[in-house]
Amino acid sequence: MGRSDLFVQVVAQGLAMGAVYALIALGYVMIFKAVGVFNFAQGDFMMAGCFLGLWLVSTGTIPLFAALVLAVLLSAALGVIVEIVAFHPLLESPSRSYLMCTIAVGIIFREVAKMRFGADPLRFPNYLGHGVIKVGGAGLSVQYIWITTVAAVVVVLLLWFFKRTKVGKAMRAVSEDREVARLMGIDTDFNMRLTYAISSALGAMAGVLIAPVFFAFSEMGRSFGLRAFSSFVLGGTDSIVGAVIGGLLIGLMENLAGVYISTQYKDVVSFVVLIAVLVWRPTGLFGERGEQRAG
Amino acid sequence: MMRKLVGIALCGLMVSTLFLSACSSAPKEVKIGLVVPLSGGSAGPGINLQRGVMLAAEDMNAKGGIKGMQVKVLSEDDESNPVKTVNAVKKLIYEDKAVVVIGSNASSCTLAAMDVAAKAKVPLITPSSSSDEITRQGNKYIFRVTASNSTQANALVDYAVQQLGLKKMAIVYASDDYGTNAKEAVVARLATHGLTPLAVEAFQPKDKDLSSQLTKVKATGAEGLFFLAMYDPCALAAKTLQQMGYMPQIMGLGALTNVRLVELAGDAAMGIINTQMYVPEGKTEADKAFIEKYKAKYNTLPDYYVALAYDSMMVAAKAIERAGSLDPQKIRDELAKTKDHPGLGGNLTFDETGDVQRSVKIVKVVGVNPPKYEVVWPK
Amino acid sequence: MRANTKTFSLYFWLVAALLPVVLRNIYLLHLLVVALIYSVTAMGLNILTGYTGKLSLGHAGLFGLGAYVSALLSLHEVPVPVAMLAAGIAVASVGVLLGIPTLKLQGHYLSIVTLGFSEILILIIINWKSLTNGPGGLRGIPPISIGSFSLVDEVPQYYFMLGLVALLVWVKARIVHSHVGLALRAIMDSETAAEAMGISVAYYRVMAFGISSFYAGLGGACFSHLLGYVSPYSFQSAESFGLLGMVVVGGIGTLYGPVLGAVLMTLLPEYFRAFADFRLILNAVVTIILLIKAPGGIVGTVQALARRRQLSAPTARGCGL
Repeated sequence: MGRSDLFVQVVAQGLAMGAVYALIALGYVMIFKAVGVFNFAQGDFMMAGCFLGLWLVSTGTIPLFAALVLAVLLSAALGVIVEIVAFHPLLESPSRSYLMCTIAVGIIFREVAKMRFGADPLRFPNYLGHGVIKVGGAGLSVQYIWITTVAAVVVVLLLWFFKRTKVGKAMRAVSEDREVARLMGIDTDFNMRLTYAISSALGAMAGVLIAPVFFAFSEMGRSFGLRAFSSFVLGGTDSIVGAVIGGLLIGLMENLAGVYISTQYKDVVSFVVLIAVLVWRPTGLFGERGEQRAG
Repeated sequence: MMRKLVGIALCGLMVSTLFLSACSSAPKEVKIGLVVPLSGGSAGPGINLQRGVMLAAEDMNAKGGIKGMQVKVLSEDDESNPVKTVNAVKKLIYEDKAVVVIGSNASSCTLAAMDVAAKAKVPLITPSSSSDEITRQGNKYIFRVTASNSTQANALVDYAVQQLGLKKMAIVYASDDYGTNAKEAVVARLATHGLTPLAVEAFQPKDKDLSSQLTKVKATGAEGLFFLAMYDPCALAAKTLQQMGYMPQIMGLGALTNVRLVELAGDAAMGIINTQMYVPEGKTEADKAFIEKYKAKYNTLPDYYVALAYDSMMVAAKAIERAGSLDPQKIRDELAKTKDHPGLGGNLTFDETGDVQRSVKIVKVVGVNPPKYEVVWPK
Repeated sequence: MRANTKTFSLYFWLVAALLPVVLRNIYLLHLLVVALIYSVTAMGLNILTGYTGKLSLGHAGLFGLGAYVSALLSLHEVPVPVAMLAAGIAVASVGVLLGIPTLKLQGHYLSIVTLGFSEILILIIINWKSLTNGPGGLRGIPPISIGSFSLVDEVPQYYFMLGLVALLVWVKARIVHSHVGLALRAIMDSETAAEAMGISVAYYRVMAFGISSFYAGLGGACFSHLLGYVSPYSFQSAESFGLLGMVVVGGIGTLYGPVLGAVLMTLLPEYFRAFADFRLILNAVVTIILLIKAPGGIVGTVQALARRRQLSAPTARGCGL
């Protein structure tokens, strides 16, 4: 394998992984925009969506794609329920309480999944194809092409939704200032539920998309969550485009660092870059506003 | 009012916690402690270990127990965190009065638990911690049922070099206690053949993106790849390598022979070889009965974790029987005398360090649907 | 106000001191020792998060750094008390160094830096095998000795930790009631106002970071010498969330909150062992209920109750824990 082929392979693979992180990071952005906290259960919403899909597929009575769509819808409902039961009562509490609550919800999700589906990874039907696209000496699986395409479509849809639709505009107003939005006659509770429905559905979509490649397992939220989280922070926590670019950067950096520096310290490289960016530009690469709530 | 109630409930909980102690032990029972990860990232092996011990206990009890006493297994979760392992082992020894403790899975957890067991003079049998460090501490209360990493590495490396004639080797390992120790064992054995691996790459156990490691390995053009991690990253790696159009001989230490590897990786898993102490072949009567019982109960074939845990329990039971007493010290002395115990995966003998002397097989994946293995060594 | 705090303190320490006499249960005493070790670090986290409003998600890393520094020094023949103190000072210096560049970071961004920093620390501990023995961890760490008497049994360990925690609570109370504590609270209320009053926000914040890190490092040192074994798997980021849970459930910004929280959050999962598979789920559910129903933590809620009673009966005195 030549040097240039190696480089092309590393970049392609890095961007492909970056698309995966970006897709998951979108869920973090949704919640942060709305509530101003990190939802550490986002990865576990992804896992839940993935297992819902697997469960629906394994019943064998529903066609695959219908099952996946249904899984995404059920996840949206799950997001709403969790918001009502666990998160909503803490909306006015300090964000550290909210944050602890998301962690606790994540633990519940993981343990319930483990009880129902076991702790071993499970194979997810591969509906994304097996092919490999060759560019010179480098190759990339079509699975990644699909993931990247869906991520791009989702981003465009989200941007359109927030810019052009009435509901989207209302959600933006609520994320700017909940009190003012309420005074303006916007149903903020409904908005919050809608936010969770969308972010949970986004998670489920990411889950059923990456499971054919990485399998379905109860810890998948934690495996991908931290990287996706770094992507979202790097991008500036409240920017959809930022999260995408952050994800691509993290994927790229890790792969380059792994090949050209050291695989032992490749995670250190991305954390160092993350810290350096935050110190240099405290709102992340694309963040517009700073912190609005007391820690 | 609500807050008051919560407060009262909490106080009640605290108080009952503090005084939840001193369970009187019934005399006609042998209490065996079990501490394995049942939640968190390593719950997979932990659950199988638990099943193995439970199955062995059921078998013992069906035969009338140990000298008429029923075996009672008390199992505790350690979340693969050494602090929790120590908590659990102290509970089992001091509160439940277990006479033998079986566990844990991760070597770092077993290392932490060993000192507690030695201080309390209660034997600790680890079914699956393979790090060489464990039996090199001079601890008199630790016994190990799985072959150590170096025993397995010696068999595997010798086979790869002498039988397969591989010369260009690469290593990818998980940077946890198992992977790191296994890597050292493999590198050391390769050195005795005058070989240095062309690439030694690490990955974090949680990590799912192995592409940079595998790309580097591919760039070296290695013919043999030691993949020293659990079976699920290996399934991922095998699939990625297949997509890269690069098919080195993948070799593993113990952890790769799992039906799930083949289920997850599909035909990419073909040809993977792995050292093994137990293969569900059903060659002996005991093994046949074991496989049948396990299949009836869990609807899947037992893996080597189940077998190692089963053997651990049986070795303990035999030692208690020979000791004729529930004194942990006497049980330890009898455990140390274990010689040629007919385990599911071959005969077990403990040496003076508590490490096991047992034969290691090398198995190869030869069929995908249904999963099929073949023992390629010893022939 | 003060009188009730004193009464509470008196009862608290009296009960704590008598526990080993009543209990005589090695397992529970061991758990309490572990809880008290965690409470030292949780107190440190509380100094940062409770009195400056800055959220750290990296205290497990500082805790681990303290444990490794102290363990390595004592394994290289440095006397244990010196090693422990050195660990505290070393971690405090790291905290100050970490605090300086991150000062201007708002709220959550600081928590990410601390999270990333602790991930880096753990990765270095795992990969620097020649120094730290990597994932295998360090063993045979010498115990704390007083004269020829070594703290290896649970009862003396418990009393040692109890004494240390009492001392640290007292030190913390002194800090909180000193000009430093007042300045910190002024900054938390309004940075701009504090700055206008001539309080150097940067100075006090870095100082809080340093003190907080000192506690974390000292907690780590206790961990390694009392438990005798350290491994990188005891200090991963999940533990940082665990520490935060102790502070939040116990009562953030209160004196005894972190101690009570550490005891509760250590005992609760052990108590739930009886529920086997449901253990962690139950623990998480109880945590959520506490977060919702007792927003000020245990201590904060008790304070609120006392205050309400004070309102209905004007003669009763308040309770300032």
